[in-house]
Amino acid sequence: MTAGADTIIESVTSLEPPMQEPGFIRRLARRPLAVGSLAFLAIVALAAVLAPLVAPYAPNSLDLLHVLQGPSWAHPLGTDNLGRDMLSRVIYGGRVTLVGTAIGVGVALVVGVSAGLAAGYTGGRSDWIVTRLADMALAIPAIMILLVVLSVFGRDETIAMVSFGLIISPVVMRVIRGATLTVRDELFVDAARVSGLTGPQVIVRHILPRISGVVIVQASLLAASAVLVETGLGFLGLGVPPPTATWGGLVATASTYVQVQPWLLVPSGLIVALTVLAFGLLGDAVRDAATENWLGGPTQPHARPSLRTELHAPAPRTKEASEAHLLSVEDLVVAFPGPRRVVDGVSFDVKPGETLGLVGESGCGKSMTALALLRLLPGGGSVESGHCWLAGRDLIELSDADSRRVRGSEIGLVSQNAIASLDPVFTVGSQLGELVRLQQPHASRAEVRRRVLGLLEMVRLQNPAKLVQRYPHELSGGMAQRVAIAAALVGQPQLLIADEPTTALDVTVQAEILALLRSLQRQTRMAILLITHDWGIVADMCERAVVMYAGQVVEVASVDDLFHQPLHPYAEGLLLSNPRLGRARRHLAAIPGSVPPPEGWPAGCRFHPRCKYATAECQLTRIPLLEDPSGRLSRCIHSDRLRTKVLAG
Amino acid sequence: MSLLEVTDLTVEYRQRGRAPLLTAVDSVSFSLAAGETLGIVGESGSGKSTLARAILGLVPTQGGRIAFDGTDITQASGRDRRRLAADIQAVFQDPYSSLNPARTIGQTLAEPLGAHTSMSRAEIAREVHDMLERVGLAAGAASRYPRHFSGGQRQRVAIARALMLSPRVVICDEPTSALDLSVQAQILNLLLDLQVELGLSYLFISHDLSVVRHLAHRVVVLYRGRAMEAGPTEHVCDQPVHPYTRALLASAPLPDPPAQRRRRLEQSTDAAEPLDASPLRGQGCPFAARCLFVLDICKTDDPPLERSAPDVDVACHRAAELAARPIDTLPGRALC
Amino acid sequence: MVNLIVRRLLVSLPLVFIVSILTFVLLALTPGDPAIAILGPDAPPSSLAHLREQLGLQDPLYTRYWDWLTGAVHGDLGVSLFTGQQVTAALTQRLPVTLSLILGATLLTTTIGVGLGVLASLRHGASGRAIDVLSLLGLAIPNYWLALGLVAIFAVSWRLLPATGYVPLTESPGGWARTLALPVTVLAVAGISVLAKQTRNAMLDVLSSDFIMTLRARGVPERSIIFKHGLRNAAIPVVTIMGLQVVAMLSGTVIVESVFALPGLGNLAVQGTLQHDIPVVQGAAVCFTLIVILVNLLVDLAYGWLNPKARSA
Repeated sequence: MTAGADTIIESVTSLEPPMQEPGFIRRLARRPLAVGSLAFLAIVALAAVLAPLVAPYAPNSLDLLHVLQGPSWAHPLGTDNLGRDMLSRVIYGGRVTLVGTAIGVGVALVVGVSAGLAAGYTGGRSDWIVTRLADMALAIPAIMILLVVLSVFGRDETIAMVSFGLIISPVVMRVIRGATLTVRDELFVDAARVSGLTGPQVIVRHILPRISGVVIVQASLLAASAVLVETGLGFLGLGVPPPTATWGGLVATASTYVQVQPWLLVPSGLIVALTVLAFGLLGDAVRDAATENWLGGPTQPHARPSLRTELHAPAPRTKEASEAHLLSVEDLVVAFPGPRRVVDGVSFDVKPGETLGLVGESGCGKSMTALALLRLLPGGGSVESGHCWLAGRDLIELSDADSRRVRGSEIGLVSQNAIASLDPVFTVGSQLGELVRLQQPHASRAEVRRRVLGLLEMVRLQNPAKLVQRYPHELSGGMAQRVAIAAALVGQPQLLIADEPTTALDVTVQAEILALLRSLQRQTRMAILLITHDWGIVADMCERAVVMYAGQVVEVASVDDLFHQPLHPYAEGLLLSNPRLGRARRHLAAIPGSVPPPEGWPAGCRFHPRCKYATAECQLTRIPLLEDPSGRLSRCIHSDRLRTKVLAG
Repeated sequence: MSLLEVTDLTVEYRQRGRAPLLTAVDSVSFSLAAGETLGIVGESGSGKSTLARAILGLVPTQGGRIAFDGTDITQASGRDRRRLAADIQAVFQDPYSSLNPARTIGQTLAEPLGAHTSMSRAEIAREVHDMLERVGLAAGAASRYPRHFSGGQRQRVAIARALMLSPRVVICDEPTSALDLSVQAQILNLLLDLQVELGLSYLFISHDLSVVRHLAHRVVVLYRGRAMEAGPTEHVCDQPVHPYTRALLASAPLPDPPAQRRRRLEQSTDAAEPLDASPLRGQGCPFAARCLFVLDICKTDDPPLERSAPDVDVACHRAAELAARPIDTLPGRALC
Repeated sequence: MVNLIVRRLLVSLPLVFIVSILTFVLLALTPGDPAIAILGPDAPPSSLAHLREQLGLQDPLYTRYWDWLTGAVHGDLGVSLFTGQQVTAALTQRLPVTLSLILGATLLTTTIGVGLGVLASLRHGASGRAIDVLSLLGLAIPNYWLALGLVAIFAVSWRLLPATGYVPLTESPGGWARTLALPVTVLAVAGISVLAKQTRNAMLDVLSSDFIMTLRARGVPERSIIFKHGLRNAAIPVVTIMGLQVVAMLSGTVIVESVFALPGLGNLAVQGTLQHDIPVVQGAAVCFTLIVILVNLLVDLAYGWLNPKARSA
């Protein structure tokens, strides 16, 4: 009868309470489909309510002289087998369907939402019971219950729609429960409980508003299903008996006379289809309008690696392969649609075999720089200008195919969340094997296996033979990161980009992973571009460091020099604000203010509003990266003042 | 007398399927005096967050006793718990999840007052205004939504909310872990100031030993739900006895390149097989599998938490021996 | 694996009991005299008395249920009040028709729905919107209307396919296919709509995950990423939805068999309902429930096979 009923089992995508968010109505109004649907439904409802006034004829007035006619001036939608005006019957039929729909949706919502809220919020035993009951109810085909009820009670539309509501309420319950669970886990619910609110108060004030979007969407989808079910029953002859006009009944009549007057099918079925469509579109639109505010614009999937559309000479330009540098980033600018620059003219070099730290806080652009190198910028981002020279070739200008090859064999990547970086449905061995085969397409299975085991041993994992059969979710964070490192090293890259490789790990595990990276580096002589916000890691691992702030490089120095005497106020501020340097229970030398977002980068020096050395000159022009006599780089016109100080050490 | 006294607290979780009962917190005891900061240090799986939630009444306990100001609150009823809200409050880790995005800052701050007092709207508004000022935010913040604020600013709001009812104990569950370094320093300073100004006691939970060292008077180190070492900060952080505390200290890299290079331990880079479940009570020390000083007895007998030095408790079979063997300290610098 | 099947069955069998009990209870709630409801108010009292005896209305409810249950376990589901035919026989006769219908529709739905969904996920922008609209249309069009429309076009106007009737496979594969073509299409439309949209969503979801980005960073070719890694992961939520769709199709068979006059279970159920033929309706209810249990079992097995995380739980 309807598949729509079961499409209500949708994943919850938004929890913003649409009504309370400013601009929701406006966002909804911007969607023509939503406005159209709302208007259409309003017209249908209004027509049904005002039927005696609006319909040109009484629904049952016969006109046996004009049976089975097509559209005409007198009867815009034609007449049926008894000469009754189709338009009037459609209008009056709306009454039956809309009332039935309201009953069905009402029952389903009342039962489903309350059960879902209660189960989701209370948890424990009652949740278990309700869920089991719902599972069982869902397993019974709805149609069967409906038919059984009808066979017992005969044709009673109200009972049928109430039954429908009850039958479909487990679906609603499931969705609402899911939404409630998600909201309940939010810390602000805990905070409300700790503030002393009672359970019901928490539900009403915090949870219900947050799930109201879901409820509205469910209501729309429910209405769509209810219309289909109600008219379906009418079609089968199980709804309100004739001569009352019902939409389902109209289709049934039309079907009897399909050979004689096929036109009759059109108005009877179309009104149903359009009404269902309207409810469905409305539900979708509400969901989209609510999510939009949360996510900001239509969600884009990660952009696949694509060819640069800039007009450059077809042959990639080459730079004289300089032995001094393995990787040379030159004035890299990365921007997102908006346009919003996140990396603004970044330059640095990585020498072969060295570990260079890319240090900064969140939003400075360090991760985007790395992703730009790999040509893996997420949704919408692109390299606006700049070059990244690796072994004489500009990575930015490579074709997709070449870029892919570079990624496998010359540059490796280890990212923050190791378990999430592995495919959950394949074993460790299978994933590593796939990578090995990429590099050595003709290797035999035995060779591949040998290589995989070798890689696992290289990252010092115990019991590699058993490990190859494990799935990522069965590994601990540390083990997964070792596997990820092994995967990155399959192609024996010259450069390993490690993006916050230990941030998600315990500090004891972190120490092991860092030691592993160091030992691997000694073995393979690869360079490491280590992206981090942790100065301890910089001190531990790096020979040189590049400090980034607001999309720019602000200081480049050897790590010894940097920690001993930073030449940029931001670097100095960060080092001084470390609790390790503070005296117990005394104020730390904190940098005031917070990191500006890309939309709000100050003019001139981007750090000047927070800087204790700032003068009027600092806001005038964009400050270049200045080189001092000893070769150190700092984007500050007052670095000589910092040269007079030395950090306690 | 101590303000908050926890004795042998135990919290257990039932896991999915047929997995055995997980003991998240295993007979942990400590006390918090008025005006004092007690640091709880542990890594993932140590039970530190569960401990906080148990004290706040957000999860049920299966053993032990929690006493506030002399009164046993372990099995406090719903109503008693709500009354406790005026005395014990919390600041949580994630600033993006701890504020309801659909309510203005003002509404969020007004809520505790509305639930507990019968102040008028005007009085509440004034309180909100005062508190915003106290935590370093502009008064205009009250009418704006959380999404307009940065992580650090949201954490200030969270602190403000915790203080609205003038509590005596504030449980800080990793309040700065999700913040940038520069912001972390600001928030730590704010917490210090508020403690002095309002006479607060903090239960400060963190995985970062250096932060805890900076704020706390006393420290308890947890591993897999059990207390391994407890004592004054200077002692635990400068001269730790327990092998786990020593490992914590040794693992955290120093932001001082020459010093860090010198102290880089030639530690094993082999990955130990992670234990799927901590050994049950009576099956030995939970740290035995990773301990450099492990003996056979460690794998079979639980080490008791015993006094090792004045005011220092250590749960280790080799405590006496280790206490006599200080770790290498660098001249002039604390190790945390 | 065997463990899973056994556990699933143990959980599901109570369902059959519940459904049968439910129908019994509902019958007990029938207002008025069931005999009159069936035979009409003008029937002679002797027939009414005879029917009441036949229905065992004088016995208490649990006795009647027990009788039915013991009968059911032995394969005897009673006798149709209308045709006098053994219910079990009627069910077995009609089962192949409904099964052909469902299998055909499932096949069509899976291939076209998943295919469209994957295709739409690979192209951004316009085709994504197109799939959204198309899928909504597919769901909005009432299946009875679609059925009638197709009949009007293919059977009445073009005379390509039969409007009604069924030819068993054993008789003539060609005829069987022709009689099933339109009904299967109608059934499949809603399923294709749902599956296309959900597959697209699932693929987009998966393709934006961390591990996909990492695979690209490791130089894995795009084709592998989409079809080996992406599809395999997207299959997990999709298989669950497939299961739900098949169950929904059962509901759909009721209408489709009606319109196309196919002698299947759905048709039987509707006839039974219209005629207050209680044993038939009960028998059909139990039969449907068993089919649903089977489908759910298959979905669970498939899910467990596809999702390693589900196996350890």
